[in-house]
Amino acid sequence: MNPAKTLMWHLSPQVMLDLVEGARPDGAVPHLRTCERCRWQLEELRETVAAARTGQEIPEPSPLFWDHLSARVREAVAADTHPPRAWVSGISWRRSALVGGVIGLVIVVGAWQMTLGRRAPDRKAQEEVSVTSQMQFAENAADGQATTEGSFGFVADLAEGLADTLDWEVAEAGFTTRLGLVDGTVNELSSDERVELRRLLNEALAKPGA
Amino acid sequence: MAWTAARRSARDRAAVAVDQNAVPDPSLVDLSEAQLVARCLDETPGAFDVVVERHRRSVYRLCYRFVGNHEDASDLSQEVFLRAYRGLRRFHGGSSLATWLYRITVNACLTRVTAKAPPVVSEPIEGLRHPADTRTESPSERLLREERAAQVRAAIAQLPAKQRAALILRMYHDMSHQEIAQSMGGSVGSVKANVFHALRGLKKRLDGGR
Repeated sequence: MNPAKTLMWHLSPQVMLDLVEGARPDGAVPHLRTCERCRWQLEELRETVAAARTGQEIPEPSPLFWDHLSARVREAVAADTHPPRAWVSGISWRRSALVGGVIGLVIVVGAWQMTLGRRAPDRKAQEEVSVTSQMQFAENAADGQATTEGSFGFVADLAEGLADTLDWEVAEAGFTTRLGLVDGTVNELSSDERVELRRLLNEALAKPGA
Repeated sequence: MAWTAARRSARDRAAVAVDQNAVPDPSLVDLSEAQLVARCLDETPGAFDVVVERHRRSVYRLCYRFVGNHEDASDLSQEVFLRAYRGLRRFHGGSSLATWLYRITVNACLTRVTAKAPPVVSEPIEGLRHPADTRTESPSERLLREERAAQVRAAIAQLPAKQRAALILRMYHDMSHQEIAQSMGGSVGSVKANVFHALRGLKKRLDGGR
């Protein structure tokens, strides 16, 4: 089979519309002479245009309607430029809700900023407070008096400590820790844990391609 | 205070430009489009009334073709002229006033049909009359013609909004592709494609209705 015969480009919507509307004569498009499908489609479109023309008429309103429309427009334009109501009565409930929400947000953000401001200035003092807090929690725990408040404070301090060890500059690429931190952790392992760690490492290194 | 003064000034301008007595100055009626717009901007009494009077029929008919019923078309027409009044200072004469108004109308209609689909296609309501010359037409012929027109309008009302807009403006308002592109935003090519696909969709729907 000859591929040139099977591969055929048909007329684009733009060209087809030009033909339907008479902007381009049929004779100016040689493709029409050879393509049955495009000829058939063109004929169909012309029939549709003729059918669409029958829908041209729409019910004509009463002659009085036009003056009525003009009067309505006149009133609407005049009302559009009426002085606004008192600003309080002019606020809709949606706008009120929006304003209320924004005010609430400002209060929350303000309170948060104040809290940060209170915590930020003295890093050393903060660390002292943190240590004191941990000691206090440890004492409370030992006494069996660990309170929810104490737990919360300890968790907060832990989070703060973790934050100190994180390298925030590369955090976007995935959290990481500082150099030397792994060595420190290994030193804190018990002898059994070290044996297990060694076994796991040897196992991993023994695998092909490791 | 300045804001209040500005609003008062706007109200005064409206009262002048849109004459409450609705009797346009006869000298305005013969003005060219550019002169009329200039008079509107100069706050000449009744000038905007003349703009409404000149374009209300075409605006209403376009609205009717979109929404398919008198009540909505009437409301939309009022909205279009109100929008036009508000934006008249932004009209710089880059296109004709009719094209500019069509653009506002198409936007208003697209917003309406998107928010309130599908459109209602009603038969003529009481008080409306047909403009067709029925002197040479038998009652049965007239009935058939009206029925066919209603079918076509109903089929057009089911087309996607942009295709419908392009087809209506091209078929029933005799706008060029360029003017339609200006009214709807977009290129001449996209307008042609929309008209082409609208015709194919219309054909499919008319065939389905038989």
